[in-house]
Amino acid sequence: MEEKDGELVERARRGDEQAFAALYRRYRDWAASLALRFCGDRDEALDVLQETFAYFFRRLPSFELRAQLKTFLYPVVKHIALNRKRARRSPAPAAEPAVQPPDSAIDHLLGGLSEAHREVVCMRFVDGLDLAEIAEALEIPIGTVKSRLHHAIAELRRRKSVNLPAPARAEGVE
Amino acid sequence: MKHLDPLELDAARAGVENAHAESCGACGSAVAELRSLAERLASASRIDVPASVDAAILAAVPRKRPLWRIWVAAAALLAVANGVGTVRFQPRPPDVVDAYRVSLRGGDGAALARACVRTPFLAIVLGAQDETRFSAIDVTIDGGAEAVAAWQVEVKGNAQVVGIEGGEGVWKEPAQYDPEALNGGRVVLAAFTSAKEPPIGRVRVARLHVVSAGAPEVTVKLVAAALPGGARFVPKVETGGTK
Repeated sequence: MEEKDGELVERARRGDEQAFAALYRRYRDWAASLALRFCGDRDEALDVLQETFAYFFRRLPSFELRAQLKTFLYPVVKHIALNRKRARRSPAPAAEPAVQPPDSAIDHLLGGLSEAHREVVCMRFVDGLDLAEIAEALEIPIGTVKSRLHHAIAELRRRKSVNLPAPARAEGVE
Repeated sequence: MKHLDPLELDAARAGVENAHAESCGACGSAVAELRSLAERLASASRIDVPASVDAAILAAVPRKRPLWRIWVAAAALLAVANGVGTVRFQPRPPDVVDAYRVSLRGGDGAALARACVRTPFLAIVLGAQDETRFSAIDVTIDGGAEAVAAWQVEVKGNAQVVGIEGGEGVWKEPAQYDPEALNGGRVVLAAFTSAKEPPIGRVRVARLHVVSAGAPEVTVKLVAAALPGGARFVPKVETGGTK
């Protein structure tokens, strides 16, 4: 049976290298793809992956797992990726317009949605987080998560990215 | 018939059983569309992590340490924390790989490389003058079967670096370094090349002229390196040719 995150974290805190490695392998692909979503560059995404786990390993001695590990790692990946994206732009602003990455496949699928709506859709559809976990990772109320997801799906429908049936009531949605 | 709202459709997409979605063609089709969108999104953001990245990350895993070393580390951390107030999360500073990537995009990578090698002065004390010895130390980088397009190393030791020459081939120009750091105990060197096919294998990238009291003890440690195109890479760094 697969060992739970909490057990692995506890062993890793005691210096068990195998537990570190198991945690890394469990979240590596997810963290790398998340980094790619934020920075849009494969090499940068791999750098973000390295920095994310270096930070996590540094934090481990005082780390307390209170929810899914993904909800801890999510803001770390996001913070590092966006910082690097900003840093990448700052040294050579004159040359930057020519090097903006082309629209990615994700842009193609979700283009037109606001950043906030895209983020919630990706967290739900790609990362498989439930609404409470999204709320915790983004540090926003769960009602806001519901509202964003509701409007994002409705917008996809409006743009015919997803062929949804006639509009439904939005009771209970903020 | 009242159709499912977007959140109910999402719940059905995620696997929550919903009798309406199973009986209503429109809602069933919408759930299928959402599932398809989820698969396409996952596929678009998929990335293969090379084994070299795994190795670099797992090599950085802290090892189990004897208790006394933990206490020493804790005391050091406390000293730092007292000095700066709080210990904040700091992302890695830019290095020559970042500079190389900026250059590949047409930006001023050299300016960023100069910023990367700025080094706080670290004074060293030489011994008696009658033991003073001048030496030249070659720095070589060995990428094995790969070509190295950018590299950054840190030079430390008991010797003062008094001159830095280039190496061979595409590395014949001296690397970037902070002149202020010369005469100190630590110098950072960095260089990248725009050559389309940098040399493969072992290549001399720099020659250091040092002065030391007695035999020079200099270590050269890799900070960062990249393959042509900008992917990070960990080649071997060696020193030799002392004379």
